[in-house]
Amino acid sequence: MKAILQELNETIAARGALIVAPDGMLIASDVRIGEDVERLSAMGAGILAQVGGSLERAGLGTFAQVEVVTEEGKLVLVEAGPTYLLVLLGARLEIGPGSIEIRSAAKRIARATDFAAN
Amino acid sequence: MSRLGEYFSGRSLESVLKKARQKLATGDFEAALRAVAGGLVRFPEAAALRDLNLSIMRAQSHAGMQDLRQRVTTHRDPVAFEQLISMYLETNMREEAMRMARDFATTCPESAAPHVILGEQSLQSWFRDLQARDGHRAHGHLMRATELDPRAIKPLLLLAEFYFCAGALKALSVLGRTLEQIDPDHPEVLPALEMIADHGDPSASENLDGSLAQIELEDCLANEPTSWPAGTARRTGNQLTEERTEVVAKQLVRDGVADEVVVLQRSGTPLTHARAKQTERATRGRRRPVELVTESDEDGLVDVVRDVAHTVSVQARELDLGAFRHCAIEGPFGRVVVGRVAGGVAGALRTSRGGESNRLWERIAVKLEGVSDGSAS
Repeated sequence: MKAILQELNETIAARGALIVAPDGMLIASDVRIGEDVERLSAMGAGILAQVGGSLERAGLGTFAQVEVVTEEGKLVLVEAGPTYLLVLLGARLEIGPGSIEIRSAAKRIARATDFAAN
Repeated sequence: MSRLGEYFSGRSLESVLKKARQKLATGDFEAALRAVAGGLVRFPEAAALRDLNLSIMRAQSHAGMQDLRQRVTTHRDPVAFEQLISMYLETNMREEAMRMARDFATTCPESAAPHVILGEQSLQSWFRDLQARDGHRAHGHLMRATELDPRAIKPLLLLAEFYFCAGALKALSVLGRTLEQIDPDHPEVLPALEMIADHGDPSASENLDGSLAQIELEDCLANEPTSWPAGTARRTGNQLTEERTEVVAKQLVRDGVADEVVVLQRSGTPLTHARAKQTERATRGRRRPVELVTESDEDGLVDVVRDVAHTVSVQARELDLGAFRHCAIEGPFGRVVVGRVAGGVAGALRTSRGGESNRLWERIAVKLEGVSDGSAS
């Protein structure tokens, strides 16, 4: 699965990509030198727990994707089968959860995790 | 004038954006900048206009930046460093500016200039988000700048503003004595010395770490920067009112842009909560009915907006991603957008499919920013 992340990062010039479990546990990662994997993983876990929990309490159910835009970057979190793909991008890249590259990587990860489960 | 009239007369925020984008698309940068400048006079807080202004300036500056990058890379020229960083900041390429400033500090360790830049940028981040970490960074860089160039006025003035807003009145008093010794008659120093005479307290007992932690916790400065002589451009307060946001929230729901809209103050206190009435259907030719939600047990979306804004803001800061701007969450329920606008936080739920989340957020932000200038109808 690291190969999928590496290819994604190279294709869209991302700063890093992770695969996290629904409970926030880190499964695989590929990040640029200087990026903090632990903090990135914690952000993914935080979004899954806090945002997911908040939606559940409001009766809205679960989410399929989250896109966070900040002053200096963008973070995308999308469903990838039983896991989530988290991608960290620069501020001005016009790429989001709907981009072909991210959706393709998510599908490949979903297939790989389904295969591993079976 | 009706809103339709405003749109066709070119006076609405939407029409200004449209005109400027058209000029940018044709490569007429000067005309695009003029259109935006005219719009900013009327809508000074409109982030969409400011962002568009930066995009135009970036496009226009592209060639100049390349030349300076070459000089920095090949000759490590301090003047080129400063000019390039300045261009990056003018076009809001903040990540690049900070990276270049750190490179500058490493390349020219005896130069105060990069530390003034890094200190000022950290100070701006601190004013925006009140995070202690930014305050410490700003203080560290500005102190280093004063060590490298003890007679430089700018870092001393920035430190004075910082101490004033942090309530570090003893440090402010000490710094005032330094400014008096260097250049008491400087036009920028004089008003600062007057403020220091009024507010500095050489006998105060203080701890800067504790002050910064308390500011972060309470989300409130000891003294507002607008009181400082050069601080009028800094604003940390809320610019939205209940009356105006109610008008906009109802309009957004009535027009079908969103099914439910929430607007909160920076502190998380709800200002407005509007949603489409569940029991009535809009008939053809009539806009759909809207109700204001006042019962606290129906605050589901309010809690979502508040939780999302807080969680993502904190996480983004931990990752050094800068200030949180907006967020889009999609799922079987539709989509929820949450973002910071005009000093507050807004969120919306749209259950119908179709459209892009970024476009939904932009429509909400533009409406609310237009309201903060008093142009809602």
